[in-house]
Amino acid sequence: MTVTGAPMWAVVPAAAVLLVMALAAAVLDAVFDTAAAGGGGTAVHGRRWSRPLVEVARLMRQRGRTTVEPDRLLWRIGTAGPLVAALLMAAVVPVGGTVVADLPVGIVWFNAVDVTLWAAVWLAGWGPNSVYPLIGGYRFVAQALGYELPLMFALTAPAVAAGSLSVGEVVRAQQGLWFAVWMPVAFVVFLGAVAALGVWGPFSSPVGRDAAGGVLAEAAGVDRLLLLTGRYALLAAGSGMAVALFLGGGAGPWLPGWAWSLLKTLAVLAALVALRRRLPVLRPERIVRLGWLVALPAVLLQLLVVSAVVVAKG
Amino acid sequence: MGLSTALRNLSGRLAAPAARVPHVLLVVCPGATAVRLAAEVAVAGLGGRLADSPTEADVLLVAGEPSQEMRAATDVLWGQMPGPRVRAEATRPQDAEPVLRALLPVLTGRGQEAEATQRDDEWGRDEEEDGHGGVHEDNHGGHGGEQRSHGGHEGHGGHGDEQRSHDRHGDHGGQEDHDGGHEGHGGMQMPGGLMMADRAEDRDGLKLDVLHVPLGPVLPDWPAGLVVDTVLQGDVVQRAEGRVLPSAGPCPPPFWQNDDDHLVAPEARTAACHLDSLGRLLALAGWEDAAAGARRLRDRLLAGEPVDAVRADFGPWRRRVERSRTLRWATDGIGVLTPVDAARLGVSGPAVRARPPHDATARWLRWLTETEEALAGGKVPDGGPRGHTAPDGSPPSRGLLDVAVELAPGLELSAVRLLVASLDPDPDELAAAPEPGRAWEEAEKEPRQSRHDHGEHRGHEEHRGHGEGHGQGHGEGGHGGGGGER
Repeated sequence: MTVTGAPMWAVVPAAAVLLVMALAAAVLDAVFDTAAAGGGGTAVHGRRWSRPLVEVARLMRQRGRTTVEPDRLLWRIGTAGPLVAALLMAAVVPVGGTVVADLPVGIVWFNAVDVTLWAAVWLAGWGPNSVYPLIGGYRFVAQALGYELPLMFALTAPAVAAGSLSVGEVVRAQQGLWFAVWMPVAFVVFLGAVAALGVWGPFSSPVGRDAAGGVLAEAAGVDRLLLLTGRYALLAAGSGMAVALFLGGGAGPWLPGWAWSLLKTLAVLAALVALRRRLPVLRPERIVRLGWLVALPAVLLQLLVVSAVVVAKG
Repeated sequence: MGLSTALRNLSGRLAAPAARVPHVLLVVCPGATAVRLAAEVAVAGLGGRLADSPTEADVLLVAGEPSQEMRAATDVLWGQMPGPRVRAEATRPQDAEPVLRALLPVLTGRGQEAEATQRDDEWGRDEEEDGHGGVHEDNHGGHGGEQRSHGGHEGHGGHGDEQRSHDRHGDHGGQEDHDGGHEGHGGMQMPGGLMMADRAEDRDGLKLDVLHVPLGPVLPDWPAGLVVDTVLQGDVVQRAEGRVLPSAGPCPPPFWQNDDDHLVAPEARTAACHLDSLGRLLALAGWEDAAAGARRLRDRLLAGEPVDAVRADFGPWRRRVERSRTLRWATDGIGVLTPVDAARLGVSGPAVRARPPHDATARWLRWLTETEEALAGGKVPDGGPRGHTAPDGSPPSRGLLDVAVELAPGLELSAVRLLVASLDPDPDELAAAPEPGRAWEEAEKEPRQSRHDHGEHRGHEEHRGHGEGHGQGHGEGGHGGGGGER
């Protein structure tokens, strides 16, 4: 399947699709939430799926938070950061045969944007001038040290196999065999990194309950809504990228390409969302250890295998 | 004008669904475990959830009768809630559900708007208004809401307020100069009325800001009314001192040890107690599903369901928790309590019976084992879920708290939270112990000599201290409003 760039106006529907996917992630999370099923037999089972919408209404109605001597500009940047980063990532993710920005270096773009999250989440913690958000910010930077290098090499593997840094080329190179099949380690590491980008599941200590919500502790109203949306949008954009890099993009029988892209993205998203229910949170120090002692060597070996295969095939 | 009317209409339309999932900040007073349990059930039953922070919450529910300090802390938390917001107290377990139910309509009612406009604290002006320029400017200048509020609970007593209210809206790039050499000479007023933090060597030999942060008395999944005053560098605890806020009036006997309640047998009660502790630990470890499972089992036991039925569901849950390698990995090595130290500090109960290496993992594994034994009808060892009274007459939780405080230095905040949860001292026992009343009066007169003193007045132990974030704060959370209070 060839991927071509879209005209300028495609930015709008692309953003809309990303937001719908983010909402889908939130709905999935609410549906999987057995903890909300109540304690004393008076469980509220019905309409769990509508919780994200209720939450949006609640946050739209809530006031914004000010603190004493906040670093207001940086706080705003940090609050908007995750959603903006997700939108920028989504710009290079093809849906079917179309992509908003058909960059020759799309993979590098994705990587560059995910690094800006270091700053964004840190600033969201720094801005409010309050101890728990700051601790959340520290935690994010610490765990980013753990996941970033494995993520970079996981991104490198499909690029090497396709001989191109363009996401469209990577999709085309998967005709016949998805990269997830013969580079499973890179795929798994990439998915883990996507969860980490979304401060999700085992990587959610920056917003941990033990730190009163961490980075989210002082965010109220629309600020909180932006941060939470950004989180889900990052998961969605990351899932979309996983589909393009490892799961053949829009390739599939019967359905049109865009439908396959969206379906696969939803499936990856559902897997990531379900992950949260299964695993406790890992402390950043453990994530660094996992990242450097397990994920990094494993993904480097994967890269070696991929490179050897590419050379052997000529 | 058109815009604001439109916004108001929108707000009205959003109100009804918004109250369907209330986020409840539960403030539990020492001695009010029964009310807390009822409130947790009620919150879940109404489809709400427990908030992590006051900023997230729209309902403030006080469980139990707050003492003076608890009330002060509650007021600070109330001030941090953005609104729409409602608050109430439930002093008896059977009150929790009706009180909460009655609150929800108020949350969506018209009264919220009136409350918001009359609000006389830091929220009197919010960010949106800043953006829209001077429309509301004189309004606020008029009744000086902002100034007073900050004097009130950030406790930088009046002066400098005028200055800072301007600073906040101006360009504040320059004033918050954290690397300039102003580290905390006593008495220096910084723009926010905040002191610069002192700096000291940390464990890695770096010079880092020293922050005084009280943990508690209100934190998610934290023993009710417990305050651990910490000295933080980064997120590493350098020093810790623990105390329990006194209860208001005479404290009932500790909930978990109260044998007069014939509804639930002591064995089931002990099992429920361990499940309660486990739920807290699992929630802090970020495993909400397993935590919710523990709480459901606990509530079923306390509701008087036959033990055998609960036991049947406990088995699969236990296996799931026990098998989790990631959970073990998260708690391994935290808070090693050697038998020697345990004997020295007068600890008994499951914490002592935990196997080597005596860390947090060993302790939660022990809880699982003892819950199983209790559900199987085994006799409760020691007569109580947390052990027996120490030789010097202090309740078992005293030793557990001492252990937590002794082992905390050098750990990161998350590890400290897990450490406290893995020991889970019960403030009910400490607030009900005979000596605290006395210690409270003494502490009023003389400075604290040991961490055993209860009543030292340090103002509002609020949920957090702003300002500490930038490393320039002086723990207004901890030291702040005292001035305003006395």
